[in-house]
Amino acid sequence: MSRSLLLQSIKLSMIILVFITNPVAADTSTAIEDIVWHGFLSQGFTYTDDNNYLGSSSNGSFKSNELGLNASIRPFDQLNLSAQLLYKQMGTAKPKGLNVDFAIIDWRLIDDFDYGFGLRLGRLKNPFGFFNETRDIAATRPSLLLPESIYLDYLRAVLHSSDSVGAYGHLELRQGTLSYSTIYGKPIVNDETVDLIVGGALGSKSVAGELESETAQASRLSYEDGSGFWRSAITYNVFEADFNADASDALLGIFSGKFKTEQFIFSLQFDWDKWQLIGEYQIRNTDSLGINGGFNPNLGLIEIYDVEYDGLAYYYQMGYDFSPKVTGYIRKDVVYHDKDDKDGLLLNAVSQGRVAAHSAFAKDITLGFIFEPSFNWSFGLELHRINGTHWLPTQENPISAEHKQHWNMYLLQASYRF
Amino acid sequence: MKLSIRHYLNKHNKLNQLLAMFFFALISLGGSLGVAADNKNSTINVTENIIANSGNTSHKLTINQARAIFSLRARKWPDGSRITVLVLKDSHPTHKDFLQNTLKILPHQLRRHWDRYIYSGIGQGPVVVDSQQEMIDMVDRIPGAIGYVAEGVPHEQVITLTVH
Repeated sequence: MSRSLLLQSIKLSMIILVFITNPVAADTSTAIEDIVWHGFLSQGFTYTDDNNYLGSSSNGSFKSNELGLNASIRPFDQLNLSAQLLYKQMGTAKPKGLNVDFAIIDWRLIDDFDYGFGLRLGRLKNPFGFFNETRDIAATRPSLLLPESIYLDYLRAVLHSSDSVGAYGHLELRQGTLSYSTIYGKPIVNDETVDLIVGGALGSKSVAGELESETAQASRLSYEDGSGFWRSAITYNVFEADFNADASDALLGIFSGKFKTEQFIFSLQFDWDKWQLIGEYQIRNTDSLGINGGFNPNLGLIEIYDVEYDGLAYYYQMGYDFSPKVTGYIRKDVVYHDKDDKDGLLLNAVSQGRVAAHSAFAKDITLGFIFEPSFNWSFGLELHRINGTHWLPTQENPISAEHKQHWNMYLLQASYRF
Repeated sequence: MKLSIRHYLNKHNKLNQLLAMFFFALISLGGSLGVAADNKNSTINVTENIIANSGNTSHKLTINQARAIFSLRARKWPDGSRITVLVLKDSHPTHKDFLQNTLKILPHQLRRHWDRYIYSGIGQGPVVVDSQQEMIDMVDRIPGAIGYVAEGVPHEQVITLTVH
């Protein structure tokens, strides 16, 4: 596809531009001195009493860490170039080495004192709820793990960024600021994502086929009060792809078809003195057309059907600053695979018992503390009490009969940024 | 599902009891730290001045314009020159007082904007300086620069902007 080729070459030239200019050789040229460098790293430890998350956590797992380095330069007023390399390990999935996390050409067309408008091109972060764009930087999250209901870590690749074109703007109003950001492009998909998207709903199968002509579009309109007392946002997001099944997928009951998911997120946050209240509410409508099928013994043939379900997710979190360095928080986080089948009984029946009812939901009560002794360092611990296995990754828990409905998770995390 | 403590302790093992105790201990510790910090923070009210390069043609800002500048949304002065935002470290008392008294915004809200620029690739963060003297020197040197100093710190070489 020529569009993605174009994007590839833009990305490549940007990376070369930014990273060839070695900061060690900086003293002679003013342009190189103008490059601004930032980075972050974090290491987590996960323990679960039942089930596995972020590695073999029932034995304690260190397999959650991230390391990022970014550079940006503004060669002239209208133009900002930036790129970030990221190494991330999440559970037992093979680490994929260093990835280009973003590579952005940002062209500001209108730059007035009270309003602005610009275009972006490259690998962009999707506008999605309050926390998606900076989700890998521990210090920007309101907790150690973002609420899995909406910011599902194992679908991070698809939700997080895309090779796309974008537009953004802001308008200063009397009491606050209105901002807008939108992107359209090709999402980042890997093998595990395909399993989650196509095989996920029917008990998570390892699928051999591939997604084709994937597109992502995301738009967010947000308003923030001038004093920062409250902010709100509405996000609309669509992911679409054709699934091209491999011949072997037929044995799993999976065939070629179309996949589409559409998401609305409503976000609201209040900050008052030492108190913080955050809530986000998501509607997720998924259509899987012609992908699922099975042998119908009554008809004596393979029957292909469409699966449509309306997912629902929300969380609310209350935080309190015990001191400028210590924050505590408590959160309730809920997700339903299908709002019309909250207890999963229908899913269980339709799958003839193969899929456990408790995989249709997850209700997570989280208690956590974050200690930030300085701007650079942050340490946290978090306790999750979970009912349901909806966001339990199959790759960490291959035998579905062993999934436990009620489980607890304990997390520790240390992180550094500059 | 009922989540009573008795139910919780009956159902789970000693590890959970230990963790629960640990959390309660932390809550109390956090609480007392918070109280200690409150006592320390109740100091006298100092005001801060917004300072700008002497070439600056704007002499007045509304509070929302000042917020837009320090939140890095406004990037050009009305005369078209580039705005360079200088700030002290987040932990610097003058920085905290400036946000509280002049911009009237909580420190972590401003930090949230900066982090989005820095870590999602859509811009650059503010220039962070170590001291008020360095702030004055750099504002003096960079056309279009803006910063702030505490009341009483001499800054003849730069101009003061009033916020209304």
